[in-house]
Amino acid sequence: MAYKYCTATNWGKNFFTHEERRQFHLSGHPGEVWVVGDNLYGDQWIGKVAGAIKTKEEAQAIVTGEIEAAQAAWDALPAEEKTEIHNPRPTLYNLP
Amino acid sequence: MANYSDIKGFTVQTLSTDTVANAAAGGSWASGGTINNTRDMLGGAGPQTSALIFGGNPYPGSSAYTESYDGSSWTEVADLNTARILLGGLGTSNTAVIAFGGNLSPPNYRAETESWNGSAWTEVNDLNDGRWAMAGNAGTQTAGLLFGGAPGEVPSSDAHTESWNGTSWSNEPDMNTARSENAGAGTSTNALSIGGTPSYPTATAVVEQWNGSSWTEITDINTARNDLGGLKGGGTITDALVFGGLNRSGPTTYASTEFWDGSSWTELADLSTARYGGSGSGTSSAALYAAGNTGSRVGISEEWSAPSDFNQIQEGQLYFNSTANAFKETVTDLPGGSWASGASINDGRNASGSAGTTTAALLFTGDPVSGSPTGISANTEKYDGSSWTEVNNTNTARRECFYGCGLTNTAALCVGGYDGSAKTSNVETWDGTNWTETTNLNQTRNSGALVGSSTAAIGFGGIEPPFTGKTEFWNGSTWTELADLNTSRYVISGAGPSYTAALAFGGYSTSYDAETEEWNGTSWTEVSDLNTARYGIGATVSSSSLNSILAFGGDEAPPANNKTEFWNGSSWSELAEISTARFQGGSTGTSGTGALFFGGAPNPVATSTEEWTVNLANKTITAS
Repeated sequence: MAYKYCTATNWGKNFFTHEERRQFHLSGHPGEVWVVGDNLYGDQWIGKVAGAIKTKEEAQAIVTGEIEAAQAAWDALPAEEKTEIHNPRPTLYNLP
Repeated sequence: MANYSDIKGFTVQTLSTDTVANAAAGGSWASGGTINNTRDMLGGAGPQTSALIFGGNPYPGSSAYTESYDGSSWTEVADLNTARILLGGLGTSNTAVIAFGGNLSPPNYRAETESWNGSAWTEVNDLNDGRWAMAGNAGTQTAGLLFGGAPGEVPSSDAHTESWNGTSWSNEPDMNTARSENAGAGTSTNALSIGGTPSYPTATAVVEQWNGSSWTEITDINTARNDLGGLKGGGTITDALVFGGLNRSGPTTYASTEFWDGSSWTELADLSTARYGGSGSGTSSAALYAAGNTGSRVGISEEWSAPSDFNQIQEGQLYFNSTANAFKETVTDLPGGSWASGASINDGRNASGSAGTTTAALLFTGDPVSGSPTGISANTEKYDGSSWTEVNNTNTARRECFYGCGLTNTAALCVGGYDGSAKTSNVETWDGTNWTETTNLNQTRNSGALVGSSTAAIGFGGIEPPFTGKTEFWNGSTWTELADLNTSRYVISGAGPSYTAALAFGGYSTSYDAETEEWNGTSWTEVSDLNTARYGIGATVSSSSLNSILAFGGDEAPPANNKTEFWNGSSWSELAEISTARFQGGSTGTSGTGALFFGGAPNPVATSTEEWTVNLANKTITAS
């Protein structure tokens, strides 16, 4: 499946609708990065949310930067909090 | 002369969405309102258009924040009296909720219960045992249930259950699997406990069902996870959703949604944003997942909607999907078939007889001893589609009787075998309650196969010794010899609709056999071989057609084999493998779309059951 990449701020209700979810692939990632199915409906949605188009490499760099910042915050926690804390250390991953 | 359709063509239905199995399968997640105070590990309750979230971790520390949702936006309302994280919650609207348990930071496990009336929280009676990480909740603010949670510091978890009657909490029988960070659905008397963390940091896929007095394990979810969203205060034991979640072994954060229809979990449309530790509530047709953690805390919410108006999937349907711009055909998706765990048998064994269907099966006799064949058994168990129950034994204990036959668990044959001292020609019939001895086989032997019914069957193959190809016909009272198999062998498998239409495959003669032979009522004809030669293969013994038969498991010199092969009437093709390789297990099934495989060898003898299911799928038609 082909994708497009953009950044857009989720404003809440109707940022994406049920109908849109059925029309194209959409997944949200750290840094307000969105992976969007590359079809007519996906293009229309990017326009609707005023998405800033990114290349895959640019989008990946944003996501990686956000996760690395979260990792640094986790690493800075006191040792006892790391063992007690509910949240595991965030891990890097690749966008589809 | 050309007919009308040749000239004018056919009209193909145009649909904007694919056909689906049920309303939930047509559901999707849309963005909901963004909460005011970003946090995770919060409590929540209420339907999609009237929900309440409370407490949680905005980091650092615990919060008492409470926010109310009207289906469009979140509004801050009065705080909890006691700030906390990972607390429970139940309620039927954003004006009638209880919050209970949780944890303060630093660790301080709470028992407080607070009641919300739409404008303020009031302290009411405490839990009996303070705890946190207990999103396993079901019911309402006046009749609720709490199950699992962490009574101490990580990695503690327990199986504790308490019920709430609107005034006070009472202890109830424990779950079978201790866990925290689980999800719940249903009511105080019919509830589901789903997933969670039994032992930090490992997530479980185990699901248990509460009937008002005890917990019973049922079918696992597809993806083991903890801190997943569920339908607190909504759903039923036959209609539930879970979504999102975490598995710390990785760690992996999930976006997937699974739907429970009372018999199996099906993956549906994903959340847009994978996350865990949010607040899930609502129903399978209108759910809400608020806030959570993607690696960082988020304040988004998503709304699940499954429209009641949907296009029902039907095998053979052809349509044009105008959204996907594709022609599609609905087919039975054999390549997409899979094995899932089922209810375990009571007495592990191999070399047993079996009969029936995937929802009404019978298992009898066998070898309960691990290792070399030394044991014999007369035990009989009956399966009703959800659990195995011990029933009356055979009169003669044995192993290696012929693989059984019979379309139900109320009529079967137990034929031949080895009784502990010698091979036997003994035959018994099952009437649903008792085994009764009847006319013996003409040829004493073990490890043959049977096809047909308890009143009209053929038995073939086995070892006398030597390996035999003898075929005998059972008319309900006597055995008559018919034409032999072309390849004499034992530990052979068979399947088919009747004594006049059967398939024989696999086994062992001078080596492991792949030979397949078809019976037409008079003689055996060699047809295409199995892809993998082996013996002790499980089969859909009661297949209603010779064009739809499954062969699974077996032993190939050794080790045990986990292959599944499908016979389409002319050749075998490989499908998804069973999870536990084994041979000489009990097996049933009436076609390639459904099967059971239970017990079997090698060491130790298995008690586990696996269930094969195949769903319909909409396949895009492409021009070649």
